[in-house]
Amino acid sequence: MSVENAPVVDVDEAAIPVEKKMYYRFESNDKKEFRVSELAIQQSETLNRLVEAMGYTSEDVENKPAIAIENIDGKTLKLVFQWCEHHKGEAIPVDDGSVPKIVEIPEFDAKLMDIDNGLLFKLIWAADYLNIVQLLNVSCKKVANMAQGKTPAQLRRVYLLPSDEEDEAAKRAAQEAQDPRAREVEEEFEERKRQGGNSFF
Amino acid sequence: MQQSIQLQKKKSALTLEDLPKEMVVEILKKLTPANRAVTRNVSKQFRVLLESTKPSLKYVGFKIETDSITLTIDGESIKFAKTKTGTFISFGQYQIERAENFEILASRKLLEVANHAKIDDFYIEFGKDSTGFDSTRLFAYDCPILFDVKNLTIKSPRNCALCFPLTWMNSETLEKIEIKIPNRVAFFENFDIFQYDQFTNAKSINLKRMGAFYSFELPKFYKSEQFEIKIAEIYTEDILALHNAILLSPRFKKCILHMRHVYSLDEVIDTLRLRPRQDGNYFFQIPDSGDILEYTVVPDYIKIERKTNLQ
Repeated sequence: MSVENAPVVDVDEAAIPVEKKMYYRFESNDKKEFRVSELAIQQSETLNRLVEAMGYTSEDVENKPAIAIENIDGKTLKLVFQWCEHHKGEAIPVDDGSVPKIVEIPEFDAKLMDIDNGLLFKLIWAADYLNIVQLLNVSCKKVANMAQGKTPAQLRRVYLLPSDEEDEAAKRAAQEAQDPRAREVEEEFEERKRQGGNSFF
Repeated sequence: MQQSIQLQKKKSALTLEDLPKEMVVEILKKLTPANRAVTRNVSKQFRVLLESTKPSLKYVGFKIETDSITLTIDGESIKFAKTKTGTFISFGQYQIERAENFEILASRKLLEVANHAKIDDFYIEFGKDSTGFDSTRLFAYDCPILFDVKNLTIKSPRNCALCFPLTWMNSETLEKIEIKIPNRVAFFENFDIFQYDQFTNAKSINLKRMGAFYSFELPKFYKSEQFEIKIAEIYTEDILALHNAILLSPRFKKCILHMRHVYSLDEVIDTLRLRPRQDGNYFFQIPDSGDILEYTVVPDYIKIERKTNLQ
């Protein structure tokens, strides 16, 4: 995708100090390109370190290829950069180790995360990898809030998790697939138990 | 130069199961206490991960009435109503009450929510009509863990229930114990809290009750950093015993004894070999130490304080 056709992320020009007004170009694994302000990049420890290490000038940013972020798709990356632009300049929270962690989800973030679970988990994954502390906080809080008023069975459906029994059955099935003799031995053992035998041997 | 960030290859549709454990833990850390309890029962894996997060709770409260128990954890309350009684299930030679019993449900819920938790304030209030049997049953069950509680407050109309909650607390973390007994209690034969490390090791103990301690119980407090209690009447030999216990105490700082009156102030002062100070108080010079025990002795009140400087 050409630079001209790159998706435009809304930028509040007035909020960006003059000396920081440089836009880096990033490319997702599906070749979508994004321009992100230097101040917004500071929300991501990983990207911030990377661009510092590269030491690009304004000309380099325009003339060199976009920085590729492999295995994060354009849909997820767009959400990440929208979040970073909206929260640019904000202090990065420090983890005080408290549990439960109190996290408020701002209105903007709530709207941004009004997405399906698959994309939400991708967002969490991306926030963790790019080390965007507050995005990780709010996205994890969004998932945690799904537990509100649910029973364990409902939660398993929401999170698409197997119950312990299903988990055991899946493990057994996988084991049997590897060793078909295991099931025969188990059946033989059960049969002997039914017949009153004390020992398998 | 093409810069790239290598990420681990992932499936296109992620589920919670696909996330690395540390990210799932990040999610679990943000659950409210009530949701934490529900999530524990989702799967074994979740239970293990939850137990690795060690929550810090500001407040845990039990309000125990004869027909209900209300458990409050950091602003969220759950009420357990009494179910039918008299239903038992056999277990070997024993018969145990049905699992739906409200005391069991309440204690189990607390375990689910506060397992491995650090708790700032643990408040227990026994209702005024709760009988000894009703009110003690909740805590009579063996608790598989000890709660890391900082401040424990127990309010009870009777003394018989007080020992049981103590057995749930970690004596290493308890700093302050406050016990309030608003009703007059004639005898204290069941008030055997001194046998528990949780009680004797606490830094600060505050006992308020209409009735009073016997003064011979005083030396049992000597391990505490400070304590304030009400005693019925005080005898000189009991003050002497307390005085000697304090001298051996590894961390005593201050105590206040409230009483109706001291029989003989002069006898106390003579027996303890207290010396007068200009401000009207008395002091005892601790041998081989620069410290003193300062005594403020008035007819209904004795304060003893360990001080470093003789002024």
